Amino acid sequence: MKKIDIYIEECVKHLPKKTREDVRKELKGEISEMVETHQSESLSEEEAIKVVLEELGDPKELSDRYLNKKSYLIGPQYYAMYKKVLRIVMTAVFIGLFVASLVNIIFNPLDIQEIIQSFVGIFNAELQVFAWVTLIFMLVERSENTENEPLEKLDVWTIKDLPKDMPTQKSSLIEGMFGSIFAIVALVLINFKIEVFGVYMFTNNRALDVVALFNEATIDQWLPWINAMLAIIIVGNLLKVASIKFSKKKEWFIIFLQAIATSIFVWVIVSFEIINPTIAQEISINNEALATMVDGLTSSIIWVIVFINIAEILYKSYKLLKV
Amino acid sequence: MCLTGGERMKENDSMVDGLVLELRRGLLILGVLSQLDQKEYGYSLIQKLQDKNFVIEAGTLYPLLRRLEKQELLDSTWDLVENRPRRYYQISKKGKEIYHSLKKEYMLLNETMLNLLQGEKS
Repeated sequence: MKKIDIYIEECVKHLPKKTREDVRKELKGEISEMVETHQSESLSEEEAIKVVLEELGDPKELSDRYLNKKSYLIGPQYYAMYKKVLRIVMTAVFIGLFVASLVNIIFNPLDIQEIIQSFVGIFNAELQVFAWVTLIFMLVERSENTENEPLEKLDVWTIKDLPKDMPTQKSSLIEGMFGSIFAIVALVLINFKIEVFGVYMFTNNRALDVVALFNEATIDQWLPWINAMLAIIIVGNLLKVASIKFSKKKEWFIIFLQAIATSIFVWVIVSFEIINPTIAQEISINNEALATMVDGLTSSIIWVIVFINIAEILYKSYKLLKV
Repeated sequence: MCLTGGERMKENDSMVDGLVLELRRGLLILGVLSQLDQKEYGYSLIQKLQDKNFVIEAGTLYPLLRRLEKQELLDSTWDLVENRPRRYYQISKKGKEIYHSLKKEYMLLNETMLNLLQGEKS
């Protein structure tokens, strides 16, 4: 009888608490009945239990049937998306940290132990990214409760469900992938290795010098906004990657995110002195011509970026309105 | 890779087994509902169906009964028989309505299939 109890526990342990006791009681009654029937066909108790439990099969599968679903860590409906997101985020974090480590090695001669440490750091970061992404997808999978769903979903497809336009599959996918990798790398670097952003040049005595691009004195004021902006850009790009199926709602949401990110950017450059105010003077020590160029171009480049973004938002909205 | 005659036959047999299983799966609910005019517990229903050559595994039937009850197609009651609690299931009012519609659909389908298959024969 012990085997029967173990079998039942193995089955009900995966079920929700509220149904567990009920199923336990029912299974116990049914199995006892089945065992008795087999015993009356001249089997010993042990043999009868073996036959019955093997007839019922793997307790985990029986439990899945009670739940009316297969239990996955990450089910088939999310698996493709999970793989995509994992690949992008892991690549981006790797590139970001690798570049940061490389810069560190070039500018601060490190001993071998420190070099190894920085690579171990990359490995740990990758491990964390893997764990977090998996955990998030696992929670999403768990939150889906199909227990009460009908045996089979009969979604009626109507002509309204047909995409309004040919899907812009490849280009949108590549755009989203590059966009998210770029934004994640930027996020990592700007937070952990801001000195990477700068004007690289040789000094008069042929040593490599970097003049900081950002104004680190006011970093506390603008960094949270820039982080927020990059996070929004990452979400928008991951959305493009997650589903290449055309949906008007999704496209409007992506445009909305881009508009918010652009607004934050404009607000930050107007409100804070984000660019190193002495950049031109610092460059002019080594290179007068470059200093003049940087002085004249820095602010115009920023505004060109803003205008390109605004133009893109308007163009995309116009295209979407026409659909 | 070339299969021998015996291997090919074995492969075909297992394929047919799989397809038959799929065919029967669609009929389980109809078969179960048809036999629950009177209350039955899981194992008694298995035997009742088996006596009529409708084989269903216990591991498939028990969860199915609960699911049909949750969908309000069956009513259930607990009873104590020989000191053993048994959960009895019986078709509900809603279950009867669904069953009749399902039965009608099946009859039509059966007719269509017979037409198709017999047509193929001639």
